Amino acid sequence: MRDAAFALALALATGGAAAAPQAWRLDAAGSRIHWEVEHFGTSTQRGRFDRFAAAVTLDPAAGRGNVSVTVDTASVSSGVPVLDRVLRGGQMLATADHPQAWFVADRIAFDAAGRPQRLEGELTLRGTSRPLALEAERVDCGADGSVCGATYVASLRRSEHGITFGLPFAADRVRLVVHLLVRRD
Amino acid sequence: MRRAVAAAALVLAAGLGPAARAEPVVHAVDPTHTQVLVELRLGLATVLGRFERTRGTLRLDRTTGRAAVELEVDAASWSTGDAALDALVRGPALLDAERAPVIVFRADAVPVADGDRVDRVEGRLERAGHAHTLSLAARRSGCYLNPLLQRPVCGGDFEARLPRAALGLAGGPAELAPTVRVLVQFEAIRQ
Repeated sequence: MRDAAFALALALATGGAAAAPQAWRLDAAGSRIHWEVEHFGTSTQRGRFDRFAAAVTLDPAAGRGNVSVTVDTASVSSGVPVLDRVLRGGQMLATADHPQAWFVADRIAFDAAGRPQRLEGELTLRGTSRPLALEAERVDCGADGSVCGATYVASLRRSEHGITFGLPFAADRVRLVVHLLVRRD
Repeated sequence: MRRAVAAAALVLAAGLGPAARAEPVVHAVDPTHTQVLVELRLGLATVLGRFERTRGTLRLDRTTGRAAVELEVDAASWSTGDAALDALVRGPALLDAERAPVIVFRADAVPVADGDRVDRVEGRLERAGHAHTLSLAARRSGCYLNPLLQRPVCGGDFEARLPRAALGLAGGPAELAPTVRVLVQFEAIRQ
């Protein structure tokens, strides 16, 4: 009885929508995946994946959701052309053999306002799958809640996906910073 | 005999032993490991753009514990991955890359501790004929011997959060938030 009352209260608080899954559309222009790797422990090398798609369905009242991101690995872009060639090559992302990477999260933790704070799932990169969790740094839904801007961060070890070139000078740890702009579908 | 005495006097006057240098050591910016990024808020979205083309010099004087840096950035090399946004930022309302193609950051007398550690870089940004104060905090800094180049490399990560108006960049659409975060990856190779 208490759970039903809470779900109803949450549904009312989030704009009166019934407790039902809501699909969100990715705004590609306002969304980007960034990566960071330490170089000789001295400076941070950064880059992006410029092309990716995402399917998002969230049901905060039920505490459930599904986030699925598919990345075009050849869209890797460091701003340094010679590095991009190495990144796409066989010793790193091997984009010819692995043109896509994907992240699927089916365990979502929401905050009291119904915003997804933690996305737990699995990353498949260079053909190897490993658990990965994205944590929210910022989720901003504006006045009417129909558009949300968010930033999620995660950390992975590239050697767990077979990407060992350049170790240890280029660090094993890769930090991901994902900027998303989504609209209610 | 006279030249040997003169040489010895020069070494003594510099207060150094024969192995040390008497003047700042010049390092050339490594463009493959140097990048200037700017994080913007555009409405609800966060966008991280970068200037891809950089060049410059670092002069490091371990005897005085001071460094000087000059970093040039090509305004036209600005990239976010979104062509429309890039055109807006490079355009006349903001960077005006056609009329102000090069942005230069200069800092002199930067305090360096323990031979290679920097906490703060107080400098100025020159673009379109104007100079603006820009102070960067070091997130990390140091020098290392690069085994591939067989040379010492000095650098770090530096950042600042400030109003873009303070850099002469107050224009653009209303959705572009007034505060920006500047991130600098910097590495320079001893020459």
